[in-house]
Amino acid sequence: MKKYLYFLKTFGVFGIGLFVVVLLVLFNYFTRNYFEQNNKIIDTLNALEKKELKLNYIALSQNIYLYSNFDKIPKIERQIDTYLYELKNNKAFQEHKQSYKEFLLYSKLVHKKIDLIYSTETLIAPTKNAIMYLSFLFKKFPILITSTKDKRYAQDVLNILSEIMLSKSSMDLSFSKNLSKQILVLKKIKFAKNQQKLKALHDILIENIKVVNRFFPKIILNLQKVLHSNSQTQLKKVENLFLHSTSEKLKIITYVSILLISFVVFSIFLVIMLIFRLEKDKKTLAKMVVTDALTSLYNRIKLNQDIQNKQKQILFIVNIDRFKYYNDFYGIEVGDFLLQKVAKYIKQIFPNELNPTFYRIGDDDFGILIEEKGDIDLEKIAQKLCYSFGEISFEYKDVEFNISVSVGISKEYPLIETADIMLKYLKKNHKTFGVYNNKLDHKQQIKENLQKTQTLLKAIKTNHLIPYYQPILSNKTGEIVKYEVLARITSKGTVQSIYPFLDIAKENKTYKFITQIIYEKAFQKFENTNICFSLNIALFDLQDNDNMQYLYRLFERYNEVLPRVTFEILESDAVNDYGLLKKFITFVKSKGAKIAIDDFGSGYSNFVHILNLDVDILKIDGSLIKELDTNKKMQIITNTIVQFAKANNLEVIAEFVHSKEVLQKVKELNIDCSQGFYLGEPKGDIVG
Amino acid sequence: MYLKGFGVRILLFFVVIFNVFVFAKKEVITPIPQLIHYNKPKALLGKKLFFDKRISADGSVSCASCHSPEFGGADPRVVSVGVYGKKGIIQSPTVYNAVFEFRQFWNGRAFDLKEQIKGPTHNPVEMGLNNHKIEKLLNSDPIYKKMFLKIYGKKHITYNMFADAVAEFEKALITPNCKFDKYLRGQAKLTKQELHGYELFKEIGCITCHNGVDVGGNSFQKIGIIHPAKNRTGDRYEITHNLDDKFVYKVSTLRNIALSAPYFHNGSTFSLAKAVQKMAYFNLGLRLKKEEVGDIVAFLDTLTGEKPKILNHNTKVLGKR
Repeated sequence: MKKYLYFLKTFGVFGIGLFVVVLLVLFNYFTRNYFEQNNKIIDTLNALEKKELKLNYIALSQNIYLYSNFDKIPKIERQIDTYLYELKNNKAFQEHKQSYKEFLLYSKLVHKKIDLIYSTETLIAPTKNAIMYLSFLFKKFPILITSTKDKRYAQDVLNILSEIMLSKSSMDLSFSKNLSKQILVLKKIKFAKNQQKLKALHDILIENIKVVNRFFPKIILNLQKVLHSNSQTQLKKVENLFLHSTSEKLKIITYVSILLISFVVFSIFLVIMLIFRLEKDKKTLAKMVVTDALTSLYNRIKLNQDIQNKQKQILFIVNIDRFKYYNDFYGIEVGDFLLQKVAKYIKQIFPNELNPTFYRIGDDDFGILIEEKGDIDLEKIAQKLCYSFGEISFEYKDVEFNISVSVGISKEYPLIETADIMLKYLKKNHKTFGVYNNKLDHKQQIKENLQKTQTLLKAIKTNHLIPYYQPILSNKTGEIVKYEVLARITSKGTVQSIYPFLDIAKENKTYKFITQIIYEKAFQKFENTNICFSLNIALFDLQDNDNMQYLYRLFERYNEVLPRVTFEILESDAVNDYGLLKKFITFVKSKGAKIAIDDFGSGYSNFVHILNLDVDILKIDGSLIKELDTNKKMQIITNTIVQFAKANNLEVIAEFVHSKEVLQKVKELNIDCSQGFYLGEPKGDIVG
Repeated sequence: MYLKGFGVRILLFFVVIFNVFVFAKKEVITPIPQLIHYNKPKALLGKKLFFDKRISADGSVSCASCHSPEFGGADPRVVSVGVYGKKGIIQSPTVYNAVFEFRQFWNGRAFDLKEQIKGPTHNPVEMGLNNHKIEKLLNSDPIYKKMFLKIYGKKHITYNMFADAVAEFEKALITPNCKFDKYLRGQAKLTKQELHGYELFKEIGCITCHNGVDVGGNSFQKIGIIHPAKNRTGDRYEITHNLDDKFVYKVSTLRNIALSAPYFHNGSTFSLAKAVQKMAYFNLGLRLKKEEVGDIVAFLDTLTGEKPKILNHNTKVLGKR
C-alpha cells in the first residue's frame, strides 16, 4: 500500500509537471497565434482606414484639379476589396461576432461610398468641361462683342461666369444661388440675324451654364456625403468593438499567464524548500548513523571512526556493574532509564577541559575518548568517576537505584579491545578501575581459547574424542580391580588430555557431548566383559536436562552393565548441589552401580554430606598422596580419612601413586586400592 | 460673406487658371505596363478556350468571334452575331486592355473579367450556354480534361475553372509600347500634328473622361451632356434604375481605337474622325474644324500598341478606320 502510494505520488508529480509544460507550450502557441491574428486584423483595419482617407483625398482633389486620373479610385477599390475579402474570411475575426457583424455592414457602406464617388465622377467630368468651356469664353468674347448693347450682354455673362468660378473654387453655392434665374434671363435674350455666330455661342453658353447649375450642387452634396460618410464612423465602431472584445480575451490570457507564473514561482519555491529539507534530512541521517538513539551519545561506529582518525588518544570504557541484573529484575524500561541517566551523568562529571567525546559502545558500556597530551592522571580521573557514582542515586518511580561502575582505561591501540581487556581484568580481580598495560594481555589467552575450541569441536565432529583406561589395583592382591575411564583427544598421532579443554567445553556447551561420547564408547567397550570400570560425572552434567535424558536412555540400554560401574563425583560438586546429586545417586544405586567421591580431601570435606549421600568409595586426592612418603601432615590427614572410611564401611582408593615408596606407604595405611603412573598409565585399550 | 470682395474674386479666378496650367503638366494618361503578371499555362489553356467555337450552343461561336484579335480585340460588325445567327443589341467592346478597366460591359455590370465571362456565355443570343452545359462540354473532351487536371489538379472541370482560365488569358491581352506610351516615357517624339492633337484633346476636355492607363474605362459618364443623345440601349439606368444614370455608359477605352471600329455602344459610326466630331458635339457642344479633328485622330493613332504577346504573331492585325 505504501509502495503504491509512493508510485502514485511520483507519477502524480511527474504528471503535473508534464501537464504544466504542455500547458505552457500550448499557451505560448495560442498566445502567439492570437496576437499574430489580432495584429493582422488590426493592421488590416488600419489599412482600410488609410484607404478611406485616401478615397476622401482623391474625391476632393478630383473636384479641385481640372485634370485627374480616374484610375485612382478603381485602384483603391481593388485594394479595399482585397482587405475586405481577407477580413471576411478571417476565422479569428469571425469569432468576434459583434465586431464582425458591424464589419459586414461596413463593407456595404464602403462600397456605397465608392459608388458615390463614381457617381460624383460622372457629375464632375461634364462640370469640369463646362467650366473649361466657360473659361475659354473669356478669350472669345472680346472678339465677338462689337456694339454697346452687346457690351451690356457681355457684362452680364461675365458676371455669371465670375460667380460660377468663385462658386466652383470655394465650393460655396452661395456665390451662384441665382443661377437658375439668370439662365432664364439669358434665354430670353434675342439676337439679330447678323449675330448668328454670337447666337450659336450663346446657346452653347446656356447649355454649359445649365450643366453647372444642374451638376454642381449635386457634386457638393455628394462630396459632403463622401467626406462625412458613415463608413468611416462604422469602421471606427468595428475597430472599437474588436479592441473591446480582444481586451476581454486578453484578460483571460493575463489571468492564465499570472496563474502560470505563480505556478512557476511556487514550483521554484517548493524545489528550494525540498532542497533545504533534503539537506536537513541528510544531516539528520548522517547524525543518526553515528548516534545512539537511546542516550543521544555517539555510537560505536563513530568511536571507530574517531579512533582511526587520530593517533595518541586515550579511551575510557565505563561499565555499569551488574547491569544485566537491573534489566532482568526491573525490566528494560528501568534499564533504559538508567542508561540515559548514566550517560547524562558521565558527561556531567567528566572533566571538561580534556575535550572528551562520549559514546555508548555496547549495552552498558560507555566510551570516553580524549587526546593524550601532557601529564594526565588517568587513575585519578577514573577514581573520581567511580567515586562520583557512589555519591548519586537515580530515582525511578520512587525507587532509588545506586549504581557502581568499573572503568577500564587504555592508551594502547586498538583502544577498544585493550580497554575491554582491562575491564574484564578488573571484573575478574574485583577492582573498579585501572589502566591497561601490555603485561595483562589476554590476547594470547583468547587466541589459545579459540584454538582449543577449534580442536575440541573438530575432535567431536571427526570422532577423535576417545576413552582412555587407567587401571586401579587392589593393594592386597596386586590385581587390577577396575579401570577409570578418562577422555582424550587424539590429533595427528598425539594424544591430549581433555582436562585443559573442560572450561571451554562448559563455555561453548560441548561438555555434554564429551560425556555422552565417552560414556557410550565405554559402555560398548565393557558391555561383553565382566570388568568393572568407573565413569566421571560432574554436577554440570546433572544440571543439563537434555544431557540427563540422554544418559538415562543410555543406562536403560546398558542396564546389565550398570552394576559393574562406579560413578565418580567431585567432592566440590557434592558440596554444591546436594539435592540434584542425591536424586542421581539414588537412581544409579538402585540399578546396582556404585558411587565414589573423587578428589576427596582437596576441598572442605564435609563428612556429614558424604555419609548422607550414601557413597561407596572415597578416592583420596592426589595432593595428599603425592607427598605421602615424606610429608607427615599428609600421612595424618590420609590416616584420618582412612579411619573415617573404615568406620563407615567405605572403600578407599589412593590416586596419584607415582612411586614404589608411595605405594609402600599406601599399603601401610591400609588403603584398599591404588591408582597411578607407577601402577599403570592410562591407555587406549585394556591390556592384562 | 467676406469672400464676396472683388479682390478675392480675382484671386480665386487666378487660382483656377493656375490649376489648369500648373497641374495639367502632370500627365493623367499613364503608359501600359510592359509586363503583366499572369499564370502562363493557365492563360494558354484560356487561349484555347477563347478560340474554341465548340463552347457555344450550336458550335458556331467562340469568344474570339466577337473579340477578334484582327480587329483590335473587338467586333467589326455594328452588333455581333451569336449562335443560330442571332443578332446582339450592342457593339462588342474590345477585350484588349480590358483588365485595366474598372468595370466590364458598357454599363459596367460586371466587376471583373471573370464575372464578365458569364455574360456572353450565358446570353442566348451570343453563346447560349449555361454553367452546366459548359461543364458538360468541357468534361467530354479528354484533351481539356487533361489540361485542366494539370493546372487545377481536379478531375472534374467546373464552370468556375473555365471562367478563371479564360480570365487569365484575357489578363494577358495587353498592348504595350504604343507610340504615345513611348512618348510618355520619353522614348519617342510625337509629330507636330500628333502633339497638337494631344493638346486639343486636353484643352477641349476629352481628357476629363478619357484618362488613366486605358485612356477611358475608369468612370461612368453620360453621353449627350450639351446636345442630348437619342439611343440609350443598355445604359446604366437599366441596372441601377436611377434617373441620373440614363444615357450613362462606361467611358470607352481609346487604346487601339484606330483598330476597333465601329464606334459607340450602338456602333453608329465606322469613322474615327466622325466619332471624334460626334463626341465633341454631343458632350462638349463643340463643332470641331476639320484640321482639329485630323489632329486629334492623328493623336489617337499613336495609341495603337503592340499586339499581345500571347497571341501568335502569325495572325495579321488589320486596321480599319
